[in-house]
Amino acid sequence: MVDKRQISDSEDEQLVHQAPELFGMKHGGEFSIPEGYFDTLPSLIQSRLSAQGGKTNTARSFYHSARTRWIMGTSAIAAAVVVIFLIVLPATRQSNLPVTATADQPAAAADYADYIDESSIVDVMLAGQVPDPFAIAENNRPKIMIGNTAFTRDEIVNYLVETDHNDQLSHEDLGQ
Amino acid sequence: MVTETPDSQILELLRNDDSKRYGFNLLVIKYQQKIYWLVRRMVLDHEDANDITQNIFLKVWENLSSFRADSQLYTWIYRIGVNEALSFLKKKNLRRFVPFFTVEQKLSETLNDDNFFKGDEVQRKLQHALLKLPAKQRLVFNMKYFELMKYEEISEVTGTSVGALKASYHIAVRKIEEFLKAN
Repeated sequence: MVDKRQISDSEDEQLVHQAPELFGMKHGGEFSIPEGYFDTLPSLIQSRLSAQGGKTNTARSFYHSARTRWIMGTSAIAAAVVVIFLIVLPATRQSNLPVTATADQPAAAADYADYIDESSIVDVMLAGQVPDPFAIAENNRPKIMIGNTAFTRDEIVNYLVETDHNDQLSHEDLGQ
Repeated sequence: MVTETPDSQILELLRNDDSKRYGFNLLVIKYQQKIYWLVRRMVLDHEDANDITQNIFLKVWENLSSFRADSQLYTWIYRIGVNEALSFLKKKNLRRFVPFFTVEQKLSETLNDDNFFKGDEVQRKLQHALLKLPAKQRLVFNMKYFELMKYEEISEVTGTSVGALKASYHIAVRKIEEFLKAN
């Protein structure tokens, strides 16, 4: 028998004749659900709602609105730029500073390399000592003549560091 | 006999912060079965239908402020329901592990499980036939054939013109009838 409820529009009435199998079919009970499901569903939904804090879309719309997203995006970019200027760039600049020599830290090794030769190292080893490249280089480096006295660079540097001299070296100071 | 709360009364309760939760509970009680069956006929599995139905009502709650009084409450809830069901199927199709089988083919296999489907052989055949339809056409067919909705109502829910819905429904009926006769 045709279920007339399924043909609510008059234009569809012809379908009954075209599809007798479909419209002659009984319905209901084909899918099972757990007993009392619809009695518990409202409370399940309420508890999920409570777990979410019962928020309506005020919070969501704040996050999802285009304006908010634009502001948040721009702020993130600005923060990134500030971080780059405050932290990354100074660190880079510092690492690019030229290395300066102090009394405790002799000038760069490259500065000494020119004054180290194989024979000097052999001589030191033959004398039963451990070769110190800086000492060898310093020994081989041409002396600086002040008056008639020859000074090594280290001697002059040490003198300047250890003695509080604001004025120029006197001949007396230099052993003349 | 349980009397249904009129939509106007539910809306009135939803407008007031003090009665909002109570009004929402009445809304769920009123529409839970319609929404559940709309979804269940699309996804077939109870667990999936249960999850989706709960999500639909949570979305309804979250978006209550965007509901405009010029549309009907049930149409609005249905619209959310339809979107959720269709996007679930779409996602499931994207996530499937065996790319040669669609979700509908997989669901068709589960229909043969007696623990899952309680209907008779003719009803099982109808479900197999339905699974051969594209998701949106199946949805239109379900709303018209099982939910007895009018084309105008379906049009409001789906945003499709009445003419297109009629054509879709007639084509679906013809396909299903052919399937039932052939099997």
